[in-house]
Amino acid sequence: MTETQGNAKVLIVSFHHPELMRGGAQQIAYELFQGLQNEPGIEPVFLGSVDSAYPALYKAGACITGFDQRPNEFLFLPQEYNGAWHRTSSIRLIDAYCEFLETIRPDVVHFHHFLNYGIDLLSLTKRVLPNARLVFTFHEFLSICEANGHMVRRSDQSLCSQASSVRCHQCFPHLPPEHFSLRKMWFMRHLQEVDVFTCPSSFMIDRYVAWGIDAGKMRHVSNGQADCTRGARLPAFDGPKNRFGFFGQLVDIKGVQIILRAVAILREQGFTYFKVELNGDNLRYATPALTKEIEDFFAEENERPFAERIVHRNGPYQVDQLASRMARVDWSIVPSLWEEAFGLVVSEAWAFRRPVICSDVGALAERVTDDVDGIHFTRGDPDALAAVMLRASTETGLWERLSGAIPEPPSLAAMVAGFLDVYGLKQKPNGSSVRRPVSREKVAKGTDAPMKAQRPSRRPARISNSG
Amino acid sequence: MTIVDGAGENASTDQSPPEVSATSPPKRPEPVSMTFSSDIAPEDFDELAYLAAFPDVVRSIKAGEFPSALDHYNFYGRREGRLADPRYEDLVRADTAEFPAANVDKIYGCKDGQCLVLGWVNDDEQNLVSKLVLRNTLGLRGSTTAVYRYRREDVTSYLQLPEDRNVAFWAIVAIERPESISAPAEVTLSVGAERKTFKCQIHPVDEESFRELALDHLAKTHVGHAALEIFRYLDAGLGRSLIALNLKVSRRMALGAQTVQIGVAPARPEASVIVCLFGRPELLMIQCAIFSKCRGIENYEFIYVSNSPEMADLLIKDATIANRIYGMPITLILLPGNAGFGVANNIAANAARSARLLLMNPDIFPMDPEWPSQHSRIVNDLPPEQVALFGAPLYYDDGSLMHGGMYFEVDEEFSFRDQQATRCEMLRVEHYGKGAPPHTNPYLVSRSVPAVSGAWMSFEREWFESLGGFSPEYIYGHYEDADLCLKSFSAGKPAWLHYLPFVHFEGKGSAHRPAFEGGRLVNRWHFTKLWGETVKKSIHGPASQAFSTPAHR
Repeated sequence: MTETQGNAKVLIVSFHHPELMRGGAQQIAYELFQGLQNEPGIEPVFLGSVDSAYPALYKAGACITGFDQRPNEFLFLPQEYNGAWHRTSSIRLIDAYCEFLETIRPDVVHFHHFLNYGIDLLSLTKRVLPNARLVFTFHEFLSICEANGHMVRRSDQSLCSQASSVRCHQCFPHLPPEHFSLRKMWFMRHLQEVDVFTCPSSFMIDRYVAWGIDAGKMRHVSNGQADCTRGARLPAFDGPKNRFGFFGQLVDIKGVQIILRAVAILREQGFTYFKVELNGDNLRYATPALTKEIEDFFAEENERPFAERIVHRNGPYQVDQLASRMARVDWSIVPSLWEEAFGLVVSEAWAFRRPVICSDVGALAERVTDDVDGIHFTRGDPDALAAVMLRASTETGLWERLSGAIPEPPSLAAMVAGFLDVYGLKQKPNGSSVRRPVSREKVAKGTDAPMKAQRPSRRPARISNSG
Repeated sequence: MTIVDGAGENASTDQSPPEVSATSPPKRPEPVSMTFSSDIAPEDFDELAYLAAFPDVVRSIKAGEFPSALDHYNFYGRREGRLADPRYEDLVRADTAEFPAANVDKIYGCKDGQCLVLGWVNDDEQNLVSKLVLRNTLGLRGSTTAVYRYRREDVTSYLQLPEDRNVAFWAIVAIERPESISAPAEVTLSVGAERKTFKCQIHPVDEESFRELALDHLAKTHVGHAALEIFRYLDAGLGRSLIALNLKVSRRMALGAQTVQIGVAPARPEASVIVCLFGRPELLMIQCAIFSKCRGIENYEFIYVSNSPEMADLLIKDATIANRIYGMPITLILLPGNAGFGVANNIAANAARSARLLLMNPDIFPMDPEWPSQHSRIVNDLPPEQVALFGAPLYYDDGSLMHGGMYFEVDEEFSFRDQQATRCEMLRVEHYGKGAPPHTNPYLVSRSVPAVSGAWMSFEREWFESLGGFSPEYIYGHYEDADLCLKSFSAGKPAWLHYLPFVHFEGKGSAHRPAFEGGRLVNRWHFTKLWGETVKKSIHGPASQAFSTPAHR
C-alpha cells in the first residue's frame, strides 16, 4: 500500500475536449474529470487534444497549453501525427509531453484514447513515470481493427468478431497480411505497459481478452453520467406512442440511414401515422453516399405537404437541451451498425424513461433487454426496424410495460467510485488518498465486471459498476 | 555455355585484413572475361561504306597491298580516324529505303562514358537490328552490336502486332568524349543492309540512375525470355560492365557515408546489431519498440545503415524519438544512395564496437524476449567453429517455418537455335523447411548448413573481416549472403544454424523497385560463375554429404 504525499494527482488524457468536439469518449473523460474534482484528496488534471478544426487554438511554438482560463485543464496540440501507426513524429511534442509529465507528476495517468497522441505515448509515460499507475479505457476497437476500430468488415459490412492478419487483409487488400501482424505487435508492445484496462461493457472485455490482452488487467467500469434530466421528469405522452427519435452523430456507422429506409417502407405499406425526429450533426464526417441519401430523402420529404411529413431534422443538441428533445419523442432508436462500446444515448433515453429500440448487437444488446426494457431489431435491416416501429406505434400497453422496466442509467458517482478503485486510490479519513493494490481476484469474482450470467440482477435500479 | 570452373574454391583463403573494405572485391579469379582482338572489326565499321568513301583503299586492295578493307582499317584507317571522316560518316548515316518502322525514344548518358539507348524497331525475327552507332558533331562516338530486345505493349498495340513481339530494344554504348553529351546526337540503326539515322538528345544522368535504368531494362528483357538468354547476354560482356558500374557506384556511396550518433552507445557492447534499411523507414521505430522489451538488450548496440538518402531526415527524427521513448542509443549511418545490402552492411560492420556482429533485416522481430541471453549462451558455450557464422530459424507471421538454413540446387536450361543446343546451368538458393509446420525438428536442430539467410546472421567479427565481409560485386541484394557463407565454407568454417527463433516478414522489409529484378539476375549469374563448380562438387542439394554433421542442440 502506497500513501501519496497529500493529494493524489490523476491525469485524464482525453481524445478531444468535449466542448470542442462532441463524442462519447471525450464526454466520459470529462465527466470523470469533473467527478474527481469533488473527491477529497484527489487532484484531477485534464489533458484534451484538439485538431486542425481549431487552428486558432494552436499557439506558435507551443505543444501543450492551458484551456480557456480553466484550472487544471490543458490542451494537447497534435503535430505530425502518423495515422498509419498511430504515433507522433514530432520530437518537440515528445519533449513537451515529457516535460508536462515531469511538471504535473501524476500518481495515475488515465488514457481514454491514443488518437491524436500516439499509442507509443503509453510507453513514454511509463518510462518517464515508472511508478505511476497507467490506466487505459477502451472506447472502441481501434487497437484491434484498422477499419476505424468498428470491427465491421469492409467487404460486406458484416460484423467482425475476430481480427486476424488474413481477415484484416481482406478488408484492406492493398495491405499484405504481414502489415496486420506487425500492427498487432506494435500495439501490443505499448499496451503491455498499461497496468489496468477498463471497458464499459462486458462484450468488449471478452473481445480484448480473446485478442490477447491480459485478462488479469481487465476491469469493467460502466460509463456514468451526471444526471442529464436536471431533476426534470417528463410525463408520458397521452396518446399513441408513435413518436421516434434519433440522437447522435449523422455518420454512416450510427445507422441513421436505416431509419430513413424504414420510414420509406412503412410509407409504402400505407402506414404513416408516426413521426421521426433526428437530433445530431457531424454530417460533414459522413460518406458522400450517406450525405446524398439523407439530402435526397429530405428533398423529397420537404416537397410533401407539411401534414404528410414524417421525418424532421432538429440539428445538434447540447446536454441541457436533452429534456426538450426527449419530450418530443416516445422511443429512442439506436440503429448503430457497429457494436458500440457502451451507448451513451441509451443512458440518455433511460434517464427520461424512453424505451430504446436498438440494433441487436454488442453493447446495445448487452444493455437493452429485448421486450423487457426495450426492443431489438436485426442490425442494419430496415424491414426489421419498420416492423418494430409499426408494433411500437400500435401495440397497446407496450410502451408502458417497457418504460416501467427501464433501469437507472449508471451514475457519475458510481463511475467515479469504480475508477477510484481501478486507480487503487481510496479516501483516508483526513481527506488525503491512499493508493492500494488492486487485486486480480476482483475480476475473477466479477465484483465490478458483471457478465452475461448476471444479467437478471441488472434489472431496475441497476448500477453497472456497483459492488 | 556452362558454369566456369571452380573459382569459388580459391576464394577468400587469404590472411585476414584488419577490417572490411566496404567495396573492394576480394581476391579471387576473375570470373568474367571478354577479349578484344585487333583483327576484329569495330562495331561501327562498315566495309561497303569504307570502300565507297575511300577510293584509295580500293586501289590499294586492287594493287594487292591489302587483302581487305578491314585490313586497311586496322593498319592505317584506325590511326587516321577514317571512321570519323565526313565522307565515310555521310555514307553510314544515310537512310536506306527499306528500313522498317522504328524510333529511338531516349538516350541516357553518364559522365563515366556510357549511354543507354532506348527505342523500338519493327524488324522480323530472322533479320534483327544488328548494330547501333551513336555519335554527335563534337566527336562523341560509340557503337555496339549488343542490342537487347523486350516487349512494349504501347508499340505492339500501335503497330497492331502480337503482344509477345519483342519490338523494343535497349543497348549500352561506351562512348568517347562523354563530356560532349549535351550536343544533339544521332543514332544509326542497322538491320541487315538497311540503315536509318535518328536524331535524339542525350539526357545526362548520374551513375546510380544509370545503373537503375540499365537493370530495369534487363528485368524487362527477362519477360518472355528464358534465364538462359539473359545469361547469354551477361556472358557476352553485359554482366561484367554492370558489375563494374555497380562497384563504381557503391564505392562512391561508401565514401559519402555520414554517421549520426543518437544517445550514448554502450562502450563495450556484447554484440552489434546491424540493420540495413531501404525504404520502409517506419521499421526502425517498430523494431526499436519491440527489441527494447527484450531482457539484456541494453548490452547490445544498434547500428542502422540506410541505403535511402531521401529518408535521412525522417530516420534521424525517428531514431531520436526511439531514443527518447525506449532509451535505445542508435548509431545511424546515412549513405548518399543505394550502395546495396552487402556494401551497406560492410560499412556498418566497420563502425561496430563489439567483437560480435548480428546482421538483421528490418523486418525481423524476436519471438522470445529472452533471446539476447540465449544468443550470448550460444556464442559463449558452443565450440568456436560453430559460432564463427551462424543463422537462426526464421518464421512467417502465420506461424510456419520460413527458414531453417539454405541449400543449393542447380537448374539446367537448354536453348535450341540453328540446329544447335546450348546448355546452361544456374544455381538456385532454397530454404530448408520453407512453409513447414513450426516444430519440424530436422530443420531446427543445431547443425552445419550450406548457407544461412542474410536476414539474420551472427558473425564473429574477426571471421567476418577475414572473409572480406560481403562481396561488393552483388548488385542491390540477393545471393551475397550465400556467397559469404560459401566463402566461409571454403575457408574451413561452414555456416551453422542454432535454435534462436525470430519472425521474418520476408520481402516486407524494404521497398521494391523493378530494377531489383535485373540486379537479381546479374547476381545469380555472377554467383553461378563463382560457385557453380564448388556446389556441384560437394554441396549440391538439400542432403549434401558435406553437411551431414550429427545434429545436436
